[in-house]
Amino acid sequence: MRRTGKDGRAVVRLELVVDCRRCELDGATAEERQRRADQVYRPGLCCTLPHFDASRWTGDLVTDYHAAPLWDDDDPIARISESGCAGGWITSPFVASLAHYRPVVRSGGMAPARLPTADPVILDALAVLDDAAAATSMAFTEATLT
Amino acid sequence: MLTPPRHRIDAPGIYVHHTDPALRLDLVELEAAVSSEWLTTVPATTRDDLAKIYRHPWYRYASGEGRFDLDAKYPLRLEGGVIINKSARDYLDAGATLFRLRRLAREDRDAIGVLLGSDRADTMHRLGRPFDEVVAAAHVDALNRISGLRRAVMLGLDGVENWHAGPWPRGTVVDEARIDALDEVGGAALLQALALAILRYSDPLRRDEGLPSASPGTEPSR
Repeated sequence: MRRTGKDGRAVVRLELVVDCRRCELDGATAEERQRRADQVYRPGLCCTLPHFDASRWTGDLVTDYHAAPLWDDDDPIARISESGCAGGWITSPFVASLAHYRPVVRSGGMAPARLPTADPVILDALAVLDDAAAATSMAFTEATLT
Repeated sequence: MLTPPRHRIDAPGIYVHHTDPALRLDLVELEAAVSSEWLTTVPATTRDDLAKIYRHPWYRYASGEGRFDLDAKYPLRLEGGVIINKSARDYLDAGATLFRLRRLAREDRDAIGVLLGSDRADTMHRLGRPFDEVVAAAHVDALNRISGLRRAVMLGLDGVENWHAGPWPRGTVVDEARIDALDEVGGAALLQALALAILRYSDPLRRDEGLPSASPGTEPSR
């Protein structure tokens, strides 16, 4: 599911990054991908650890993070070499725990969030997530339609 | 270097004091020693990062890094290089006293911060005021700080499990009598630890939690 953006670079949908078993960033073997998946889904998150050799990524493939709250910088490629695989962050318990508080997209419109909250920290985190989602969706649309 | 947060944002904040007899502190110290020994064998260039990653799960919990999520799992490096994930709860025997924290409203948090940061005596000293005025101001500072600690606990403590003197359910108003009971058990050290835990639990988003527009190395604004 690779596409080419307007600047000629390949665009990888986030789904490929989130599911480490399908990660195509560095041409790893199936066994290596499975090993990483085990590490990420359990809280090892090896691809986000400092001793992981980030040079093994071809980070320039990743230009779309779609709802990754930490990758809303102007230069996401620099960030991935610094902070590791986006999938490791997105699958973190912290981000997963926010899901209950976001409206659900259903056919016919948006259903309200399953859990209402007035917690200021949760509300702040939701705002960050929504801003990043909007920005990256826009970037993805631009990259794929132009 | 940032690493992904391991806690859940909506996990209840539960504080356990390090002097709790149900805490297996001997096991914590033993495991931490193994990790420290291994760190001396790794290259110096990666030592700081690895020390942060493999800091013992109990110490990471106790620092408030995971907003006192007792079930947040952190990697632990054991003998032979085996890496497992453990949570702070794994180091507690049955019967630990669990202080349940409540998130403070922003205005309360700011007001308590002002009380705790009271430094009238320092200002008076720098202005060259007479000694007795400086001493009087120091007394006011001390009272303000104590008042800040008590106020934080009154607003931010939402029940205690396994309290030695009977039930302390969620929603119980923490009045002066309750504060005195805490003081009786753990003294000012317990009150201070609880107040700081409540403030940490109520911190604004940090960088690893997605604080927007933060530059590397900057602290979140208070």
